[in-house]
Amino acid sequence: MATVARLRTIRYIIGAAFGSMWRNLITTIAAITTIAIMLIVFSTFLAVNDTLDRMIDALGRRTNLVAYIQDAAPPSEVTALVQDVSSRPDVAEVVFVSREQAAAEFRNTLSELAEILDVIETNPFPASVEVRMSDPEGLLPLADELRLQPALVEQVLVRADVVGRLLRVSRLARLGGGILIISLGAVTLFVIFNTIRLAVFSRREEIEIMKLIGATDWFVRGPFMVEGAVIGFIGAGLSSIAVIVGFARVGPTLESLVSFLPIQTQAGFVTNLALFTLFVGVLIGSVGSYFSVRRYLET
Amino acid sequence: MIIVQDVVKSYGHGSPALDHISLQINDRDFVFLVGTSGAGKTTLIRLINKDEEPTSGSIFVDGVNITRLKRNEIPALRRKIGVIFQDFKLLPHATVAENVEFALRIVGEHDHNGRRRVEEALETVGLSPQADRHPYQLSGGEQQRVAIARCLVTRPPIVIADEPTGNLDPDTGWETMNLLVRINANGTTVLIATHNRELVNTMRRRVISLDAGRIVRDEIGGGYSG
Repeated sequence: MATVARLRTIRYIIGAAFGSMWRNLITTIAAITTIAIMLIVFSTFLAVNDTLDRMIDALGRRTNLVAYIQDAAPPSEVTALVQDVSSRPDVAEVVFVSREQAAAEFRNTLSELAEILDVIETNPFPASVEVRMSDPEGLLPLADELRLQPALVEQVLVRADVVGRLLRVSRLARLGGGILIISLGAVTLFVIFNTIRLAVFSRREEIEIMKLIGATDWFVRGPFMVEGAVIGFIGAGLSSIAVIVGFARVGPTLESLVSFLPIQTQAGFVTNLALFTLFVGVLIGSVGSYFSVRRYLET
Repeated sequence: MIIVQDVVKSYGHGSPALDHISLQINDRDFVFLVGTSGAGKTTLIRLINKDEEPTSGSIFVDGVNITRLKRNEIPALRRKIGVIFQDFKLLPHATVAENVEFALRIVGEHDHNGRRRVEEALETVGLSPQADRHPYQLSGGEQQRVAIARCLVTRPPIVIADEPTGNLDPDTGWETMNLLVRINANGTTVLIATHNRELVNTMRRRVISLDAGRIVRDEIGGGYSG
């Protein structure tokens, strides 16, 4: 019997929540819109920040210097060269790519051109030593040193310009991004909380009446929390849709626009972001309602 | 049974709103609480419904010292006491039937009999035809009766009315009073705060007179000051 009564109460609470959303339609729409806009701004920022991060990461991980090895170079000297470069304190990683590996890589990454290799029959790719610096400052001196060994090194390619600057920018961007995420997140929370508070404030009399005729705190609070959760869910849902659609539209354009940069607009990230946003929406909605109502319950 | 023991309620500065009040209201009593505005009637009612805390003293309802109740025990107390407020305190967006129904929901008794109980309560106060109206479509007297129906539907052992005739014309006031007498005849304890002299004098019931926060008279079959 108690369970039946409880189920009845739960059904009432859900019904009351939707009833009051419908009755206060304008407030409901205003709250949903506010939540959606705030979350769109916030998640767009998160997505942009993530893309930048990924770009910087990819650039940083990229080989900073490639030394192409003469085909005639004796293997022992090449090994010595690799060891010599690896031992430098400003070098993070050295990878030796043999001629066969270079050909295989070509087949993999540019599969539509792979037929060319079948036509040529011989392997046109030189072996190479790919170097990633831990400190980009040492990049140019290393390149000069390698160029002094023409018997071993055919050619040296350096990406000093892009990399050095980006590495410096990345530290700043990460710090700035972190600060912005925290402050924008705080503003988002504040605005959403206040919207809910206002909605609850307009119904404080209703709360008082319920209390005076013997309603328990949960009986009063329940519909407000369900309402907050639903409003948060809808707002966050709208925001998620906007962000997913936005990225699907803007992402490819952006990639083709700056195709020289390793931009990866990742669908995975945006999906996770959407799920995260929904979770946040429901949480802020219900918790915000809880605290807003508590104020009037305790007076 | 309501027992008020040496209760003082003070709002800070000035003389206290209630000054060492003691009284006892037995089960099935019908009691008037009279006095001019500011005598302390509403304060006393608010204390009994635990809408406010006494500065000192104790109040017992059904043997429970309500001044010691925890926050989460207050709803149980309020379900024992049906209060009819001077300003009715109806939910404006709910219909008459829904307002009455709401009280049933609160006590968790809105089962398959709920509809019928709501109808019965509305019938008792003579508002069956207005069941689907909203409070703002009703006269003051009708709103008052909705409040009474809401109070009746949960069958509380105690009914307290704060100036139930305050906003009503004399005829409607009489009807309301008759309703409360009938409720009392069914075994419910009734406490009515009023300054309606004529009503009190005619009813010849127990009258507790408050003046400046003190009980100046408590007699059965009394009149309004004299």
